[in-house]
Amino acid sequence: MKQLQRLILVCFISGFCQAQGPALQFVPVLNGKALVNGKSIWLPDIGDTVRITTCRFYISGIQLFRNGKLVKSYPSRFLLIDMEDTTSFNLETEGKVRFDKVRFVFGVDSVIQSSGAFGGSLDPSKGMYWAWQSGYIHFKLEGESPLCTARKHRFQWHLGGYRSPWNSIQQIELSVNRNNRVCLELNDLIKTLFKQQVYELMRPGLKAQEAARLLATSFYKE
Amino acid sequence: MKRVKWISIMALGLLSFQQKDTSPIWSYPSHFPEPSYDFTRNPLKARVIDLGRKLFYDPLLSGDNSISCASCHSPYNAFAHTDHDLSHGIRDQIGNRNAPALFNLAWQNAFMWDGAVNHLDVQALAPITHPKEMDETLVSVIEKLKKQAAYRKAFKLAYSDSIITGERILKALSQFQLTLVSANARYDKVKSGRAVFTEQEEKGYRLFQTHCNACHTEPLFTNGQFVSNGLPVDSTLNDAGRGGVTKRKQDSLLFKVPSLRNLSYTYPYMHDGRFKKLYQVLEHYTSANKALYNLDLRLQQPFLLNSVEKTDLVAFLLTLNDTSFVFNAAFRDPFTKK
Repeated sequence: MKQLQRLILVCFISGFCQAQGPALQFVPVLNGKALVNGKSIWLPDIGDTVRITTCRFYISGIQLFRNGKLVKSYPSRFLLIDMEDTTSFNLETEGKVRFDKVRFVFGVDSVIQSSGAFGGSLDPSKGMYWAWQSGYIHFKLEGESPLCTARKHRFQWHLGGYRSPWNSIQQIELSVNRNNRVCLELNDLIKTLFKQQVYELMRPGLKAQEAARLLATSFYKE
Repeated sequence: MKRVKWISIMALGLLSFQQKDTSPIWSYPSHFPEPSYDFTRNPLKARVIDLGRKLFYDPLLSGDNSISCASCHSPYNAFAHTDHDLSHGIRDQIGNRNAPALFNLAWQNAFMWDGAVNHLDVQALAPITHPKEMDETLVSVIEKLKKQAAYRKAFKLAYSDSIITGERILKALSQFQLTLVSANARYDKVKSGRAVFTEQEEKGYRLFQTHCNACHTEPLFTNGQFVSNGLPVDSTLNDAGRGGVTKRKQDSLLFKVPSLRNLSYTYPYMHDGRFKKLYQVLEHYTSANKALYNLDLRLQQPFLLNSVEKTDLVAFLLTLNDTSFVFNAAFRDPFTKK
């Protein structure tokens, strides 16, 4: 009988935990829709289709606020959001945290950038580290479009830079709660860089900085 | 006090190591400054050092398993690439620079001739992934290491489990390279009271302090800064040096000041190995024929030395050769049968 009671209790607790889910999700979207690897999407703003093959970026320094007060921070949590792995979108928390605002870094901060090798999502083997010039790639977007005049119609944008004057690290703040998702809309970036015919960004610089700033305005709650 | 604290942390790190640990403990002489490497983030352990040494000498780190770190950083040449102006890598490709010597890395804050790499722990990524050097990826290196039982065992010994990650590979390579401390040259023996300079060396030392020490600052014999020493641009390379990294005009043609230690082993000299002999280096500094763009203020006027003074200066420079470092068996290829 006692064993049955324990079993019910375990089921209840695990069911409760599952119902909680992640505290917050960070989701890359194109024209408001989830990215699907290999699927062409018509973009009215450029008048052609785009096929996204890679979308990865770092979200770090996450702080949750309620009524203006910090209720939880995750200084050592570096989410590597990857369109191919939806579990990477999740900010998991221990226990239920109530909040009405989130503040985070879009990218990897300069202290980490100049402190050597790290593991986990920051491991240089994750493909988000520039070897030839030290520094993490904050954001990576690659894809194809018939409109793109680069080789094989491919565009590749790797945004990085942590040193002045080409620091591309962005601080973001949004009013959100547990029921919201934080979406990153990619449409404006694609529209802008296609218009400028910038199809390859591979190093810190003005273009990368401008692109990162544009992306910083492309986060919204859903 | 800081040094005492640091040594305590190191000692704790060694004590916390569960298994028998017989490798030499990292040390440096009292006339050296505090190292800038943060050992608390990568505490030295004998078995991690051993692993790093294996990795350093293993051509498995290159795309076709032909080139190791030691291919361009030979222990018998103070870990430089002697006799090559420009170092060569995978598939006989020639690079753009002369591979620098490796020692006293715990005191360096910027790596490569242009400082493109900001930390020792991530330095190895540059040669591993460079298409002309080792042309490999870290992911592929991990996969190759996983297939080898000897490495699975070495990682388990080093880290208590056999998980192989990029971070562990890089930090193990750092640990071995951190042990490459060159601090037992004749100069060091004089500084620690174990020897005295000859009259000629003493004269050379005074000349060195007057003309060279501002950039090649003792006891490391580098100030770690980037300067232009007035070398005309090699039009076959058009190497902008530091300027290529920062994209700032004021950094164009600046290169990192190399240490003068172990000079007899590290020829040829300069970032592109253009000078085969030490006398050519002296000729350059004592000549008025220098490229003026961004030329360091301290070199605007050539320093004048007669032939006797040049000989005296060279006599002093030779006291910076550290034979006990160059011939230290603990730094040699662990795969070579004794």
